[in-house]
Amino acid sequence: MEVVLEMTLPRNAESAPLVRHTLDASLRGLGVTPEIRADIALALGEACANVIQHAAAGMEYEVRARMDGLRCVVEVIDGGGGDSAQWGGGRAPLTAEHGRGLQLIRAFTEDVRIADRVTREGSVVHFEKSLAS
Amino acid sequence: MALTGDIDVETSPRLREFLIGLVDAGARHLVIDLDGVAFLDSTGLGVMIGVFHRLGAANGSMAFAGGPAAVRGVFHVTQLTRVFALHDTLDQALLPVR
Repeated sequence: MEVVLEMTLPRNAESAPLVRHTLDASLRGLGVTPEIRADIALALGEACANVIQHAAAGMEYEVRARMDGLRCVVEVIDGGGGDSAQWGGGRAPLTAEHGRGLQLIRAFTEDVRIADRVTREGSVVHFEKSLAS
Repeated sequence: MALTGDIDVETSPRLREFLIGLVDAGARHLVIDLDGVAFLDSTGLGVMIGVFHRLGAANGSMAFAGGPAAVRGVFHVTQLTRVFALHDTLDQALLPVR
């Protein structure tokens, strides 16, 4: 069975737990283990938080997730406006208050990519996770 | 003190306000029980580090106890176990403070 989720969300803080819990419910329904679900939830939470924290009023963002028994592929698509997806490239200093989101996504998922959208303003954060446990 | 639920971009601002309020009211040694925390992301870590800096300026301390594997994993991956003590149990965390 393949499950595809596409959500368009307002860039406010309340959207992040909603997205995380929605995706988690789908993965649970597919029988994915809690450990793998936690990794995906963290990466998704980080990507959403990044969009939200650089929001301009009234803008939206999209989350697309495709999952089957083997793999979960997630994209978080920032529609631009405001400051688009400000990812600090390097590692944050150990006691910095910010700048760890990308490090966490990379640590807990696979095939992490950040790209500018080709035909429109904004950026795409892409990550994947093998679901085999 | 015990925290519960998700610590994320939605809840972190309130947590920061609460913890900074404790420090402003005179608390100097914070021990945070994470056993009830289901989710912790980098915005939550940012709160902890902000509070840590405040406590450091006041010669205080901050330590953590317990927590599910995913929450503890976030501390390890970011190497914040080099900044904060992350104890297995609350009793262990409280020993240096008694």
